[in-house]
Amino acid sequence: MLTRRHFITFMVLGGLASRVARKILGTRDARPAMFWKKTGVRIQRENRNP
Amino acid sequence: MGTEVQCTLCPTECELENHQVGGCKVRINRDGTLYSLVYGKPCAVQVDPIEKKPFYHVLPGAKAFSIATVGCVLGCKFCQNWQISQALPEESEHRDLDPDEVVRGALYYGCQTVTYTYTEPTVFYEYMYDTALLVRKFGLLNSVHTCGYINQEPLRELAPLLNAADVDLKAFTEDFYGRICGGRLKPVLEAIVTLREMGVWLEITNLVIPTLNDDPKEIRDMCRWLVENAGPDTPIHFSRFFPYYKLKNLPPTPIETLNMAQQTAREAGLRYAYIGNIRQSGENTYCPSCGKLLIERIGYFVKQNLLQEGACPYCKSSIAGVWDQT
Repeated sequence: MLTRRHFITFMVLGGLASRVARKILGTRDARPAMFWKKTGVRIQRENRNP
Repeated sequence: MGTEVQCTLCPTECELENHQVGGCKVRINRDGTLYSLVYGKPCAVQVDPIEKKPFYHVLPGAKAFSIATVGCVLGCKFCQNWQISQALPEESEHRDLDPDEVVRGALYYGCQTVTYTYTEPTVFYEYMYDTALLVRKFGLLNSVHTCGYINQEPLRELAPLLNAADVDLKAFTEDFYGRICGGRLKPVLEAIVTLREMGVWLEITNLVIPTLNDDPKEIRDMCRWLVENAGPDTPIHFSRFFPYYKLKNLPPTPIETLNMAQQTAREAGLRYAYIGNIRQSGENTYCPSCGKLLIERIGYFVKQNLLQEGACPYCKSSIAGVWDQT
């Protein structure tokens, strides 16, 4: 028998799962770029030389 | 500290506020960090003959595993691939293909090279760089077809991984680059010189567009500059224009104009001048010393290759190019 407590638990767990998924997909969605700088500040870039 | 950043990959050097996307449409500022939106997301993956890139002096008849993502650093009004070069990442269909999967695909299909092409590879620099590292490890060649609109620092970091580059030299005037492409000529010329200096095999492609860049004097100046700065052994491909994208009001390039360009290049001192996007003998390679046919091509396919260890079989003159995979 589903109760209000079950509903709330599902909602909370669903919300958490959604946040985790978005975090993972968000990371996959974009990768830090190599050549750029903060305006007026030193160049920030990842050195990928082997 | 603010969250504004400046991309330094290409000479446009976009200054981006938070959540703003660069002119290339594929690099975004998110909370003060610049991200690439197309890493590992090619919109075009194909096995092509290397002659299609076009590379005529690199492993004739080889298969090139060709990849591209959406985006471009320029906005040429005559773009032949505008459906993908001017598209937004969220609009396009793409595959998820990490660098190791690119190499696996190239090996599976028996390709000798991975080519970064179709759009402008500079926009997917990080993806190209990581892939190129792996490609090298597996003994394949890296080749790129680029407009050369890239800053010196990223180019110098990438060049040691490249075996061959075909640079689109779209015209030889700043006016053309500004008005038609939305860029500048000078950085492209600098890129050509740098690639040459760093030992990357170089070929040049010039799309000849009626009334815009088909002036014989301009073509002569361009060819003379190439002889002096890239060397007389640099092959040049004069490609036939067809009305696409925003230049539908112009006719296809007349064959006479292409023949004139080829003749002008030879007179200026370039030893290998080709005509592309059209089927005729202008696609063949002839020995610059004895004039004999060395490589006969039909479209993108090699009908016969008479070269012997990179030399003419008749007069034994060495022919410049990348003729083996080592």
